[in-house]
Amino acid sequence: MLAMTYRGPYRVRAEEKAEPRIEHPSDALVRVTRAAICGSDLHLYHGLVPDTRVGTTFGHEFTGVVEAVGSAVEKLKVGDRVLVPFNIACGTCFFCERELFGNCHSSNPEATAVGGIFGYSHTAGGYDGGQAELVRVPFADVSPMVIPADLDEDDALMLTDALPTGYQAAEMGEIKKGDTVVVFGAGPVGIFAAKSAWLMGAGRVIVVDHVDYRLQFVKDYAPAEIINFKEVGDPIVYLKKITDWLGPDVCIDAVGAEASGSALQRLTGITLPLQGGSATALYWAINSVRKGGNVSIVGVYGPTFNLVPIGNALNKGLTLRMNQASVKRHLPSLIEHIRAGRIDPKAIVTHHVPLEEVSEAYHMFSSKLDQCIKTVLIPPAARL
Amino acid sequence: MEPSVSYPALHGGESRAEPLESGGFNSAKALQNMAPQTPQLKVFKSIERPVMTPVYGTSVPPRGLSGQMRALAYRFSEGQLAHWMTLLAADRVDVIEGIIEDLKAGHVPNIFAEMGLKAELKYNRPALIRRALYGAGTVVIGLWLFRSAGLLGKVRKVI
Repeated sequence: MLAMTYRGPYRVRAEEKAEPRIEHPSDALVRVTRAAICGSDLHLYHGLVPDTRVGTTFGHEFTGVVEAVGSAVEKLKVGDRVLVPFNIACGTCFFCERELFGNCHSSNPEATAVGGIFGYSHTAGGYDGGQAELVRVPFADVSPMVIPADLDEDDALMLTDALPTGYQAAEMGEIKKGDTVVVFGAGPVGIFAAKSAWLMGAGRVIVVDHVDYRLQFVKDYAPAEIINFKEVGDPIVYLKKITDWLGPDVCIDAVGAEASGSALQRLTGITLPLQGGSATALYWAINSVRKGGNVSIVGVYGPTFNLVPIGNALNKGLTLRMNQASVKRHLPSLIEHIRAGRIDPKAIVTHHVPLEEVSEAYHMFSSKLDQCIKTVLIPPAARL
Repeated sequence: MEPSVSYPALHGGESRAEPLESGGFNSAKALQNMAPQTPQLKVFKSIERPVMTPVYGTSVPPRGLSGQMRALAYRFSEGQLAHWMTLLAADRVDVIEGIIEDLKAGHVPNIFAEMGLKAELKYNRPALIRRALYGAGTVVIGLWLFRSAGLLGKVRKVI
């Protein structure tokens, strides 16, 4: 089958690879029809995630058609059109029972801090991802969902990660009616977090980034006030200045490990991997939010440690909340929002690219070329 | 800025997921009784776990020197820097092993194509040309300095 494979930092290619097979009675095989490139795939692409092996296939946002099922699979059947959340969740462990499907304890032998994730290195379980023609989906009766007939496939694709992650970011911010919410990052997750903040009662939504075309998009889409941090001097002072010098009520870090804005953070977090990524957005979030405010983190960081002002968080009495999104938990609410026209997820998809051109797609997304916001890969058979 | 339409409060805080089934495949008992995935290749296990998980990925088995480094890394817990730094070092060794593997298979990797050069040519050609010129200029200056090394040596003595 044709699959994207990782060859080293900044190097990927599409090539023939052995097809996956049913390896456990709970498995299904899914023939992929859409696979998005996530911002967090770029951490893998840039060689920042430990135990990313040459030959791995990335892709944790995908939809497809069930091709085969294992003997224990009861809900899915061959031919079902499914969206597959990025979390591989058993549905029965201590965490899954509490609907923390992003923290499943039974899907990743190689680490305990993170559950199994499709195509996200051996640190996340060593599963091949969906940027291929065919993918193995363990615990197929738990997370995958049959796509409702009235749902557009790009909408369904956004439900596998980007939209639920942005939505949960806003949820973890515990937004109260009228709150001022600042979202750091105008990528797909930040865009959805800004949109979701309104749904949860925000009175004012501000998005901070340095990429003008993305800021312009979120300004119209969310809608939101926008700040290009390169144009305002010290962004912490600026944010306080525009929020009565108290700071915003809620700050959301939707950037994670490759944040711009601090040469020191980039040197120590990316050039020399002395910390788990560049934590500039989180640093700004903690320092700008008002005392007693909430900081919500969905930006992905490495597994070591980061330079963040935890002393200020203590002195300000902040609530810090963070997690991988529990995608399955959010699907019913989000589908309702989509059907009601309150969110149009597919609007952020800017590029559909043949899987064969995966090298170009990654470079384009990574370098933010052609005003790229969300890139979707399509395998050859799905284009027929 | 207020949104142009008003949204009803539909907070995601409440759980709206389907309840897990008490029987059948999803029950804890059923899972415990289910045969674990049959190991077909070497899979590492965090030492913070007592046993293997019922399922695991089989993406790329450890191999070569990088595989030995990974085996060493998995002797440390996730809380130790040695675990992660050894894995990152193994990843870099794996890249070199990947190129050797390609060459052994008679495939010369087109590294520029793998880095998406076509997209750069299509969407960012002026910047690409500018970087190429800077690169060429740096090489020329470097060569000139190299040839003038004798002169540089004299300057160093004076300093």
